[in-house]
Amino acid sequence: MVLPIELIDHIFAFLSFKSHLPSCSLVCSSWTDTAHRHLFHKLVYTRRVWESINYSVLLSFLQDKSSIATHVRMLDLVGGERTYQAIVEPHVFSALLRTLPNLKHVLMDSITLSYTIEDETTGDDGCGDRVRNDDGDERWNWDRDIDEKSTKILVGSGRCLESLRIEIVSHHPCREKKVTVICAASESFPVRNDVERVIREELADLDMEGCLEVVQEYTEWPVS
Amino acid sequence: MVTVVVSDGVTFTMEQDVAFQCGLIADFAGGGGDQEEPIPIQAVNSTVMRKVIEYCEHHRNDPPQPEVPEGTPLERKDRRGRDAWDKQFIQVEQELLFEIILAANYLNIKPLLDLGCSQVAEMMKGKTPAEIQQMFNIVNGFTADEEAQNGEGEEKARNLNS
Repeated sequence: MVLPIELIDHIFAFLSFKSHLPSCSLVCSSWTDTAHRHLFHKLVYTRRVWESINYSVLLSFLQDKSSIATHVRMLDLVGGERTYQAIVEPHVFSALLRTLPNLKHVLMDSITLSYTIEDETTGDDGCGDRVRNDDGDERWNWDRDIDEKSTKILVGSGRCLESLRIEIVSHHPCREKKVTVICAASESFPVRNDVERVIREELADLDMEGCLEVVQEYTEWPVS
Repeated sequence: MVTVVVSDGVTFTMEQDVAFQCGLIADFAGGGGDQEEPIPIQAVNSTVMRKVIEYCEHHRNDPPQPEVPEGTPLERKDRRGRDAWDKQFIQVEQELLFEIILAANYLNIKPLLDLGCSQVAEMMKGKTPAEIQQMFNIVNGFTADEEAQNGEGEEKARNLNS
């Protein structure tokens, strides 16, 4: 008696990710893809305490395993407390979006969206200042603009984000795509324009004109 | 009353509220009155049909399940809703269990399909890939190339978090 793969798929819905589905993915080739559909439906990439996280590693893994990448519908990038150790460079982020063709929901929690343009004239890291690249374009450096004295994650001039949630609702690939960026900010340090510009720049070649919406949610920080 | 005839020629007659828990029979009968001609159900034998009818009779007064719209995110299912009767009912030999699942799928009885699948899932828990292969009678699950890729993939996945 053989059960068809769609019923195997139904059975997998009753099994836990960590304990049981990995074994199922190693049973036979026809089960592998089905198990991966469940295993990689939601991908949570979390930084371990006191370690920095390298999103390029995640990106190259997904680029290498395109069969896995197609299953990812939800991506959570979770940075943890010391935000500057969880820095997402926009080009890595947009590459992640391209690599995950069926991605619908992105949650970026306690992540720094960062440019890492080095200021060669001074040799420092250009903390929080405008820097010019070779083309003469002026861009914000989002990196390392952290107030070390406070526990606040979103500090400085609002260049580091406490949270950035991006939802992509797509009914058809490359069409009717809508990106909603919700960024936590303080009324004192609105970040909206910068976030919107950075996201627009990086996603420019994804043809999302008219589909990008940036919503700002004001969050008052705890008084330290 | 609704009458069905199964693959081994046995005829079953049941009340409409019992029969209509099978989506297939409800569709076939079109919601009308008593069927004169027995409905042929060639994909199910009499042993399995007896179990199916036993299930449907027990659950004849259950409220209908809400429809899940297409495109709903993949849900994790649990075993809530399995009462003591269900647990006892589904304690059968694996061969019969698989037949019940196939019948529930064919006849479109979602609660019974869920019950059967959750029972199989229960039997799979804690088993190694080799033991699962044995359980499902799968031989030569992978080609040599795929075996190598599996090992490589696992290694990379481990490195992701290291």
